[in-house]
Amino acid sequence: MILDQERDGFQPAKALSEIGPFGGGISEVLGTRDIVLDSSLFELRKSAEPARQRLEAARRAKEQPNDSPHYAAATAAIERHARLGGSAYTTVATAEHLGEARQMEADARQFDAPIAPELQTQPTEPVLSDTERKAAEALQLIDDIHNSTDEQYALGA
Amino acid sequence: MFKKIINGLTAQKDEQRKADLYRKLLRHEAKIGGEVFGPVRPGGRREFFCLDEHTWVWHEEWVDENGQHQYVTTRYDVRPGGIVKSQNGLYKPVGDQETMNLLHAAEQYRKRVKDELYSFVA
Repeated sequence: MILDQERDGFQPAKALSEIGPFGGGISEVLGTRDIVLDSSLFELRKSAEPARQRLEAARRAKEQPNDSPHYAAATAAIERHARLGGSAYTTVATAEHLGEARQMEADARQFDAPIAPELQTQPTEPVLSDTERKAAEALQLIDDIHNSTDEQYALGA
Repeated sequence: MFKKIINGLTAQKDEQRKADLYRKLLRHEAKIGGEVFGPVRPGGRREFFCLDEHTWVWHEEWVDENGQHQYVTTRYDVRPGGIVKSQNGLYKPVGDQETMNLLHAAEQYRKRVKDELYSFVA
């Protein structure tokens, strides 16, 4: 329903003045409107609650990034990855919040992209060389980071 | 028999009056609701109102930089599993921030219509 003030000739003062002659019908109509408004707000609050929780979680994660378990997991994984010798990751451990960690993780995935397809099929094969094993571990760590950040995103970050 | 017809017509008239009154109240609510979001662009018009228990409507009209008249009608459907909106007939998801903005707007709307409309006529 699109309301049209000109078309309907509606004026607030006029409407208020017109309410009078309806006598006892007013209470009934107003009561109905009250019920609709109250019910509508109740439904809206109920439906908005998950969104409120996600926003609150995102706000907390932003304000206290070091307290976020996802941040801790991502940081720990990146630090381990850095210890494996990935010089590209050495600065990642100092990331101040998950947004940066996620960007770093995206860079890391791009960095490792050429070796990912082969190793994903047999990541724990004993025939792998030391280099390949390290690469497989790095790949797993990157996946861990990816999963952590995905969860964080699911929380609304 | 005659009395029955008269009673029937009176009842119909009464229902019509109530329906008219209901629509007028809704129009007034929409006008108040349109002020919840701040000033309207010059040449524009805005209405925001609660249609029923599950539906909120936001209608906005404006004149763009080319002098063309534009409008968007956004209908928010409040469902148990979340809120969806349709804009000019297309359904779109509602993000968390928009959901909270809608809730805050609805709460202000509720307060304003109560103070500025129903406090005078109740």
